[in-house]
Amino acid sequence: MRHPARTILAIALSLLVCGIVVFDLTIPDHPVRPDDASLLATTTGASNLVSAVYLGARLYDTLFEVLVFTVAVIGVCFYLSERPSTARATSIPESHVLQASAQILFPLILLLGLYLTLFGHISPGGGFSGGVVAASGLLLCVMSIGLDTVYRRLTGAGIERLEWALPMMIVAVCVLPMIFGRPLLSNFLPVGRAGHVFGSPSILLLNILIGLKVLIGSWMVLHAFIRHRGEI
Amino acid sequence: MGWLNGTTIAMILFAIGTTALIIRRDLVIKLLALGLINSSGILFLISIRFRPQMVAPILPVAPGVPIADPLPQALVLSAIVINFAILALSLVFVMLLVERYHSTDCERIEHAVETERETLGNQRPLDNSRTSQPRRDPR
Repeated sequence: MRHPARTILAIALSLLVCGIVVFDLTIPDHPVRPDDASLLATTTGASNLVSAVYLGARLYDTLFEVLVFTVAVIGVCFYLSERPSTARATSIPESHVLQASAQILFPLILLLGLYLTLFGHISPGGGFSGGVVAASGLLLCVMSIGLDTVYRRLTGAGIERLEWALPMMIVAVCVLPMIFGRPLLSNFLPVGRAGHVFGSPSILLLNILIGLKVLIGSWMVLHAFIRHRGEI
Repeated sequence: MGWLNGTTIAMILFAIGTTALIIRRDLVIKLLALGLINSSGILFLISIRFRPQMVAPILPVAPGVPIADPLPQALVLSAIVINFAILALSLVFVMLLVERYHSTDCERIEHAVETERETLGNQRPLDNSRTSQPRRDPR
């Protein structure tokens, strides 16, 4: 150990944290009352209460979470765009197993991502997890047919322009209730029966927007990291 | 073994992560330790309001069954996304440092920055434009 002071500090800090275990953190059991749960579900129209919290009652948190994600994507793309790009990026054309399995798996993974996004308010899932699942499908595609092919196809679809439009659309959905005379950051579309797919249209709309945003943002981070690997 | 629940495991993971973050000198290992600390925070938040007999907060549930608190689970979602953002951005900065100083050892990097500052007399030791012109993307 070349730095005894630092080592002692580290071990002391760790012991301090572990010491809380000795005092046996007593947190009272407060299960959610069924009345509160059904009230939250009927006011937001989402039977998944986690979705009802983060896209209904605490939409403010989610808005800034999306902004943090956007800033991170902007930072990664900005700092890596100055780096030299590797000419021939990854593809593993020799692996027939990967190519054959990617053709079968890619539509299924996209379908799973779509399902998680669209049914996020009535079952486990949501925009964030659905977007990440779909982006992992894109990564599988990159490994099978090469980065350049996937990039050309997605640029033809104008996917990066959509990336900068989506945060604006999410902010617009959060501000729109003011026009209808509702408080800011509330659900402005009519709430239907909880547990139905169209029971809460504004949570569904936000889930779709966030899912697209996470899919495109993850794809841009992946693309920047693969393209500009740098040199040592 | 009643004390070995999610909360205590989260604290032990936090201690391991903090120790690694302070003691280890490799920047990539430091980032891994940061990820471990974040995971321990997620486990802590999930487990403080969850007991084994509770069910996930998705209606409908059978009457009489306790429902877990959905609020910490909604907060964890923010924690995961922000962890992703932090890791991606700091990996980029580690990449830039490695490209310039050819090492992931933070003490060697500090030493290299000090020598560079002494030899150049330069107030901006991380200014890339003096030594190498950044190449533009040919695309």
